[in-house]
Amino acid sequence: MQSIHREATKRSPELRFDFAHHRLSLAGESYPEDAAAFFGPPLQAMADYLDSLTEASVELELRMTYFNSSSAKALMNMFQLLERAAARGITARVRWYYDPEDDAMQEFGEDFAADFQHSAFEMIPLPTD
Amino acid sequence: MIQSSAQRDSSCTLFAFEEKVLDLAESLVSNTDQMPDGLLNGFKVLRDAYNQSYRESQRLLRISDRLQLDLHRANQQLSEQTQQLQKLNAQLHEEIHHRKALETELRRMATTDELTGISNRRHILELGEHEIRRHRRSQRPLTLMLCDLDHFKAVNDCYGHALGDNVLRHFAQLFRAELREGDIAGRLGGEEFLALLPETGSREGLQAAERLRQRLEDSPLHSSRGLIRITLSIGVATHIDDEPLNHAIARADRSLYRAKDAGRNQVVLDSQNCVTDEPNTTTTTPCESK
Repeated sequence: MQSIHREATKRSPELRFDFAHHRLSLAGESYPEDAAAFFGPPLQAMADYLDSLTEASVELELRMTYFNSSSAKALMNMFQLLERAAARGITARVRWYYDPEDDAMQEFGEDFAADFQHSAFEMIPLPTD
Repeated sequence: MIQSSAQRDSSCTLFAFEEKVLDLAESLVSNTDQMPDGLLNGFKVLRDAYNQSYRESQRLLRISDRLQLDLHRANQQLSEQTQQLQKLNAQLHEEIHHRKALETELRRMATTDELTGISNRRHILELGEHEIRRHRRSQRPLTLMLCDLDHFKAVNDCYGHALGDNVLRHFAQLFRAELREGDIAGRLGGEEFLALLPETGSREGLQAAERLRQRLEDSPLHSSRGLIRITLSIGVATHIDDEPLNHAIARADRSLYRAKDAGRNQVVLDSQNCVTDEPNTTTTTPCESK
């Protein structure tokens, strides 16, 4: 399956979906002009990728500094896809990196974590300067 | 306007799951054979409620995105302005620091004699006025010493101005060192210096002047042209009643000229002042009645 890599822009995060190595990551600010156009295809690819797995350990790494509601919806879609894959035996883990001084990102991570049943959700504070 | 899943690329949506649920509901409703009527009606109610809730979610998302965009931009603007302000603030602090340093330097230049580092004429006279006012309030004695280096013109002519300047610096150093903490010393101009000795009467003033004279006599300047011996004449006057500063200086000046006339390298007290307990010194002329 083809990997997806998009460099960050002013309004969209860096996106790396390395399906061959089972590592997916998003980093930066996310409030794209058209969230459906930005997240739709990667979400579709991720769904297809997870469907194709029979046995694997998948990691989703998130280093978000800002995101809007549509981006939050896209993140929740990813979490749902991972949960469903985990429910049928795939090992899935989300790593939520956050700046310890950024209360909002910490709270959002904790909020997302509450819905996880089958996969792991790890909160990781970034080292401060 | 939200496009239906059929109108746009099916992968370009954040609501693939919701659309799938609705499609499923639609196919179930159209196949009425599968359900009894009561259940079908209930199912339609649930489908409509889900559909409405789904539309509302999409609308809320659009509204939130729009509001967040405004807020985020305002926030970014504020951050940029804060950074700009911090930069300006730092520049301002630097400017203030620079100006304070400049002010200090200007004040130093305005009050200090550049050559000798002691108070300049304007400053010593200013301090003198202040000291006179204090002296009037405290009723404590105040004595002035007007000093003039002997034959200084000859030093300048003989050794040049650079060495002349060194002589002035040499004397200023002794002058300052010989005085007490609270005494005030300054250069009036040329080779003429003034000291104000607070809490000092005529007798102590004469003693201080004599010490200074002796000190200079004993301390020739070591120069590239060898030892330069220099002497000093001093006129001493103790402040009387309410006389202004310039009167006291004028009396000290008259005594200075008398010291010069009498052969230089000596100390003379003004005739209006008097030493009751006469000190044992040959260089003074106390209690004159002129």
